[in-house]
Amino acid sequence: MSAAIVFASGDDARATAIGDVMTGSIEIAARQIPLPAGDWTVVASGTNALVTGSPGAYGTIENAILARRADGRIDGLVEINVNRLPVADGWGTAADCNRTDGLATVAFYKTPVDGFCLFVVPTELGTVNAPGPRTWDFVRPLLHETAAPTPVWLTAGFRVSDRHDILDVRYHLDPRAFGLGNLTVSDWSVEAVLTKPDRFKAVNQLTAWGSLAAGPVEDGFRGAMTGRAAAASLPNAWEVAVLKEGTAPSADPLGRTSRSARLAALDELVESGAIAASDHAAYLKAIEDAPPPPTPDDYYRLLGAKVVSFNFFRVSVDYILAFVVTVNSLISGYITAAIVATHSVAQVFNDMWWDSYIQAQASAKSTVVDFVYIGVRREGVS
Amino acid sequence: MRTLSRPAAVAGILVGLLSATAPATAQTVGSVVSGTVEVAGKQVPLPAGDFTVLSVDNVPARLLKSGETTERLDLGPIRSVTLAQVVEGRIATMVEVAANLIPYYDGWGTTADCTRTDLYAAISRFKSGWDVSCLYVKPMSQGASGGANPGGTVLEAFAQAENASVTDFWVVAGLRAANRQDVVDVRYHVDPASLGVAASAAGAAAWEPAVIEQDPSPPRRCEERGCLGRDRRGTA
Repeated sequence: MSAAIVFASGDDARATAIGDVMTGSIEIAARQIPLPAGDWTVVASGTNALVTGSPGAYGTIENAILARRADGRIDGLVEINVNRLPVADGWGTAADCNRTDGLATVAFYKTPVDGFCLFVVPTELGTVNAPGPRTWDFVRPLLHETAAPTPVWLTAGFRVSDRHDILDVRYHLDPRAFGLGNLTVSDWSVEAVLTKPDRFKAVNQLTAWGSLAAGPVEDGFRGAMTGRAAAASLPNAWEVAVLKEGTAPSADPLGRTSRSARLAALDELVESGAIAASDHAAYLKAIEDAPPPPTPDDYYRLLGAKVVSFNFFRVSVDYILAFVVTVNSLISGYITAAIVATHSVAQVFNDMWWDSYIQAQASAKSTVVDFVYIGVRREGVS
Repeated sequence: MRTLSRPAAVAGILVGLLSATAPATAQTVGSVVSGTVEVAGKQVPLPAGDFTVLSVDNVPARLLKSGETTERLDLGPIRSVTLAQVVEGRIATMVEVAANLIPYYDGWGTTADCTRTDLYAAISRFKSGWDVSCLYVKPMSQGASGGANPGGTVLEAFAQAENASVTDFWVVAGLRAANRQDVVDVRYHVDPASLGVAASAAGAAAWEPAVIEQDPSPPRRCEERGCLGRDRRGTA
């Protein structure tokens, strides 16, 4: 980063100082944030404010912005928000995790007290009056110090939180890195992206990259990135192969709970002498034989089996009752068919109504906690 | 894990014993620690004073569900460390710590003792399908009705080497803290004599929760253990 960087005000107690050049990861308030390849300079550091939600007495929200320079211009920004004081009952989710118009949204898990999600959205941060936290005032001029920046950037964001702490990290990438030029926000709507193969590919690359980065982000949130994991950079999103439907991922998932990482940890235990080789074989087999985590498909498969078994019972009872009354197999068949048809339709509409009701209830109860973000316009924030 | 050696029961979800040697970077048997002890990367606070590391083992995880125990080798080995402290010629406190060596993605669950209703205290600070923080306080006797000494032969050997006596009746303050990836299970075994209350396995009946409720003195001691647990749980 050049000497033209304007230094924002910062906390002297902060481990990372403005101007520090980071590779691999950065640590803020005991949370480690993985970084894509390259040198990332801390260009601003300060505190942020909540714009929605009330998680309790959280002290201050630490905010930092890192920038990477390539070919004389900034091609990537990392925006980080973490809490200083722990709360008791969780932090809720981010509005971007609930968006229905986002380019991609993945909820890795979500409960009332913790959550982890990935979202891919366009962010209009390249305009001269792009809003943001106070620290953004020091970074915005850097974007405009050379040629006019791309107005709309692509953002892959993560929100991970538990009962006590939160990490909100947003990786803003210049679409030019994906071979895309100046586009407007409407050009990045889902409908527009679906009609343009180059944009579709970029979004898929960023989503695939997000899936890869998710493990290290969660590890870093828990301060569990150690050794090589903390030093290794994430790949650049435009270098990630897009996963084709029906094919296996070309790269193993990252993160300490991934299967490959767990097997590697087991190997290290043997090498260090912590476990005997014979025991290693037993553990290895158990980990390799362990069933994969359940998926929504598993749930729906079970639900389908449940519906089929119950309906078989119901149809049988309907037919028997009809036959007892009519003593006519044909009429009993018609009655049973009529009951099945009407009940099936009624069941579908009943399920739809209850699903909608439950979803509305869940949304009403869901706590959204958001900070001031770069390029995000909200009421009362400019 | 039928091929594993030295299986041994320890109450709770994480039980068993597996012979192995500790890595050079881990706690070593015979070393003296104070303040905190690190087990599988987790820092566990200790009561005041010096503690000697009596054993460092790796044990397989076992899942206790509906009374049935199942070995879960896919959870990886569990590091188990036992420490003890000698005060005035007695083993005043023994600490058992178990923590995972390999992270898991789907949580670790609670310990059976935290769900018991027949103890002095069983308090769940929080509990979901994936994380838990709980505390319990219970009596533990050695002998015909109480089973083996919680420290086993290593504690007896240590006591002999230190020329210290070992009680046959302990008050245990246990804590389980787990998130989606990691778990630590700590059991602080305290000789009631170190609290100024003489107790033995023969008189264990006097420490039954129902009896305690009628007697104002021992509950106060018990409460002290509970307070210790409350102090520890935030940092364990």
